[in-house]
Amino acid sequence: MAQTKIDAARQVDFDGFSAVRAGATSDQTIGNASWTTVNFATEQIDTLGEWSTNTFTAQEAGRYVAVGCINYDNSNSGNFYAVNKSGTMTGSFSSRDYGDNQPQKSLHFHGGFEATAGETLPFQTYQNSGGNETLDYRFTWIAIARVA
Amino acid sequence: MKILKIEPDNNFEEPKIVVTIEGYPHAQPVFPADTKPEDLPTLLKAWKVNQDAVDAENEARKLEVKTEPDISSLKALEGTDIK
Repeated sequence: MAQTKIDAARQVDFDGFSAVRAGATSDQTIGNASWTTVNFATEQIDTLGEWSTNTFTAQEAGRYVAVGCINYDNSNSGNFYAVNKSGTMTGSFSSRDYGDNQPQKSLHFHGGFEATAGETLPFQTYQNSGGNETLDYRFTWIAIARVA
Repeated sequence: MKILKIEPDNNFEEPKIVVTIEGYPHAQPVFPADTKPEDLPTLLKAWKVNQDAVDAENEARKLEVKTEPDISSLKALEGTDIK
């Protein structure tokens, strides 16, 4: 396991550490009553090459934290979830909005999970407003880091 | 359209099932757990029609070119000392 180091410039050296940040480049339509993989298509940080095709694949066994946000545009009634649906990992992320008739629903999610090496985790969302809804790409992002 | 898997979905207060359909790893429809077996194929056909439209819409969005607004005339004001 990599250890935290301070480099010559007195900066934390993240070489060998798992860190991911990804975002979206276009809006995404989410069908009614379906778990749908969120399209975090653009990697801004991916130190170990763990993010691909909207899915996180842990390179090393360990404990991770993930935080992120999605934003439903112009939605009304229904329940809205930002969560990893299931999977074998311990831990979960969930954020739920109970349909309060507000047009914008910004769902922030955060949580920790344990992963074995090679384990994969897609991040999915669900809404049951009765019709299709749109995620605003400007507020769609996720960050994951290994902490132990 | 081939049903690969039907599992209970425990993310909800009401009992539900989640269905995995061949060719749709990115979207899984959810139905009440008391859905009748004879009704599920019809529900899935309707879901597929909508999901195909959703997928086409999302693919088209990926090809859209986002243009930045032209703010050059405003940028020219940078450094202006307003008295």
